[in-house]
Amino acid sequence: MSYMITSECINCSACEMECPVRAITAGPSQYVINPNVCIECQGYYPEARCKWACPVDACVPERSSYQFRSASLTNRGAPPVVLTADHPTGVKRMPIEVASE
Amino acid sequence: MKNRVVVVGGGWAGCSAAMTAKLAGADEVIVLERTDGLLGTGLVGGIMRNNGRYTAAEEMIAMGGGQLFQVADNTARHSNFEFPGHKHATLYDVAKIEPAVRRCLLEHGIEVWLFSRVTEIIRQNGSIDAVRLENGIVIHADMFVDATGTVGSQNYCTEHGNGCVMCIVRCPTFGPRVSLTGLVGIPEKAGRKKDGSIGAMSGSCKLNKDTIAPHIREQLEETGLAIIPIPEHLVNEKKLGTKACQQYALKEYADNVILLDTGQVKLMTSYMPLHELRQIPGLEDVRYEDPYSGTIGNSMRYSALSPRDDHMRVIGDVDNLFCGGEKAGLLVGHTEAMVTGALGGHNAVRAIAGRELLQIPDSLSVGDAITHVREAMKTDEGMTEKYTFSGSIYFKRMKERGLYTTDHDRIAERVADAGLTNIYSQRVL
Repeated sequence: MSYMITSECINCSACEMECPVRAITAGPSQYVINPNVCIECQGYYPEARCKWACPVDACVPERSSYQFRSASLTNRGAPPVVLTADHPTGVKRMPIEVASE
Repeated sequence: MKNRVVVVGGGWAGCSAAMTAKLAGADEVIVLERTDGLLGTGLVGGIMRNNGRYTAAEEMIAMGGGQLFQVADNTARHSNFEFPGHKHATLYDVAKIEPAVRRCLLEHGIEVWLFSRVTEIIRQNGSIDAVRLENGIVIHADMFVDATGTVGSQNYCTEHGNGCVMCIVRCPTFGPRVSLTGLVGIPEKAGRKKDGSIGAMSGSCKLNKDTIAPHIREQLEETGLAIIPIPEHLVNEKKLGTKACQQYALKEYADNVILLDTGQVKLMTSYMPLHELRQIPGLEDVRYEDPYSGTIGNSMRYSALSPRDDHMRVIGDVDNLFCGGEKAGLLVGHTEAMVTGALGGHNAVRAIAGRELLQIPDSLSVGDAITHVREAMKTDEGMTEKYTFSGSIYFKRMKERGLYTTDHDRIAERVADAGLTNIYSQRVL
């Protein structure tokens, strides 16, 4: 598990300076935490230092649901909706053979 | 073995390509569309048949490829209608057009796949063997048409525009467009602004009709048009140069807000801060319908143009890829997308049949535009222009070459002289 920074981030850099393991860097639009480096401050502080430092509560435990919803629909695995003349609102089964390859 | 044409992208170009591919006799035609419906930016457009687009539409009808033009005519709110700089326009209803186009495609036996974003290709030697959707499904085909457009992504709009403005393209939900040409590894060109920097901004917004003063709303519904002078302190002529739609870069459009009734209200400017828009008489309570952040900007276009020949075949290390729409060059508009898409779809089937590919001669505006734009894009200056049947430099060329006419008989005669009468409705396979 690691911490993550939500889009609430205001780019103040407080978390970056506090992080004991330097897991936080400036990303393209906001600060990001490298989940492979973050250790949730275990052994350093009683609570995550970024969470403690962040003025806008943008540093939170990584939630898979947040990551999931921030991906596009098909990236989440949504299946195609296939419209044909016989089923103009969509068919249940793929009308053509598709390879999973 | 059944043959199959896969069209990637379900905007006007992709729909048009699918139609001509099916009419030409392809066994299976599949349109792969990223979002929850067809037409892409055609969902917020609406202007057809203005100026030289009339000629192009009638040429397409005479060539037997006018089905979608007729669908647009059938959903028109206003026909044979004039607005500054533009004659005999048709405005289709942006709310009614998508279901009508969808039905037309399905009735012709075309399959439409939604939520189907192509993110990978599978190659076999010099051909595309199959495309893979983002969720892993692999679809094989004999021929592919790249109709993925050139709009966005969010990053592109941020880099070259004013940021993501939450437009109809809806990149965050469905993922930004992915270029098929790009997946093949063929370098693409980007359109440029007059100052040489990359990018061109979409030229119109949609306003919510219920938020406009009743007398303007009534005028719009009755006549299709409302012209409201912009208070002097707000006039900003500089903005005109940045628009993708050069046919509307006229002074009338800087001094006035020009509103058209396309179901919602089409505002003929790239963007305008809401608080400024609300200083215009009658628009005191107005709000944006598309893009939601029309206050700061509009979508950026012409980011990825495919190199192609006059048959709409993509030039590069691939032998079964055609293109249409904005991929085909700096051609602006639905009509332009439909004519290039139609040729791409038709020639994809000719390629399967091993027949000579169709080239439309320059005695027709459709053929002339396809050739002229490809030639013009060879120069840096040409890359800063936009081309459309409806205005600016290309309409001027149409008039100079005597191509512009609204005379149906003359158009039919020209198409017949070119030997192309009903060419799109004849099977080649």
